[in-house]
Amino acid sequence: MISRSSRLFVTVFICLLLIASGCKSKKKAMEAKAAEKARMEQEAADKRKAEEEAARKKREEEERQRADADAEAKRKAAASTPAARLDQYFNAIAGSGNASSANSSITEALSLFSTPQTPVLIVISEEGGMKDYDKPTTIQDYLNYLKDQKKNLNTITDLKFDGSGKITEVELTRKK
Amino acid sequence: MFVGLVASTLSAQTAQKAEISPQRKQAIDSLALEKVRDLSKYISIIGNKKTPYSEATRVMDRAEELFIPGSEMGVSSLTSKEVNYYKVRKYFERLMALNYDRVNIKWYDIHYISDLERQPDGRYVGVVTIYQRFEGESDDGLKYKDTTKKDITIYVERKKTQIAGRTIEFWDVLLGDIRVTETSA
Repeated sequence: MISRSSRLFVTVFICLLLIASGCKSKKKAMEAKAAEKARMEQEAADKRKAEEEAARKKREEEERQRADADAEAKRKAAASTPAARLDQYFNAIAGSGNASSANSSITEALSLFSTPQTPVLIVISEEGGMKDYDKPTTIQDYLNYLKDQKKNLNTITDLKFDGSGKITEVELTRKK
Repeated sequence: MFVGLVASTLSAQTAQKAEISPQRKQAIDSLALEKVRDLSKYISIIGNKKTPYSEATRVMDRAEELFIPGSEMGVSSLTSKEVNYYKVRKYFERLMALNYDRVNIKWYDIHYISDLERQPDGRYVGVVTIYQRFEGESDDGLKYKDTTKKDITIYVERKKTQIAGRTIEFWDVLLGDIRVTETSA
């Protein structure tokens, strides 16, 4: 009787062990599966993040290149304005090391003007909207003045043009 | 009496109106000094033996424009106590024709000794002093050097001109006689 009970007990115990062991394996498998899923999700998230970062960097680079191109275009446009070109001639003539080079720059500069007698006004001071001028001169004389004196004391503050784009009047202001 | 009072008030107001601010006065002072510096450079170009004749003549014209017509330039030397005065054009021509192979003229220490002051006729008059270092040298060994102190009378006058139908008022700076006050080696 005891022996039969013991066998039953052992059998039940073994069964219980088997069930417990089975549950444990299933749990481990589930845990492994979950870990794998989490790893895959993390990898996907990392990949997505890396792609987004690369796209952002690409956008920023494109924007920077566009800004650089705009700035360069603006600089080129500014450098090609009559005022900028004239200023370059003024500096070239005043800074010229020899008379022939200065004369060549004078001839080129004069091509921007309607006539060599184009008036040049030089503002020496301005107060309350009232301007004080030096004695007016002509562009031809002013360019020769730059050549002789080798100093460019004035900045270009206003230019007037005729219908064909030639300069008809120059206003300069004494640098401070 | 009332008419006299009104007239004197108007006259005083006109005189006050004619006064210029320190900032504008400073700009005029600087303009006048710049004209003296310009003359210095022109004299150096005219005297330089390397300057082509046509350039020297053009520069003489520009330099002459800086002066009141009839102005004179004093010329001294270490060998004589006399100071000779020449019309500025004549002075430039003599300078260009100096019998040296190399001429170097430099002006320095250019400054006012008498500030520009408004005269009853509305002009501003002042005196600027300069020091001129002259060095002449010939290939045959002839050398001459001196330093001369010179006083230049400056006249500044408000004038008007028409530019493209607009009236432009400007300050006309003109140089008067240049007098020698000292000559040394």
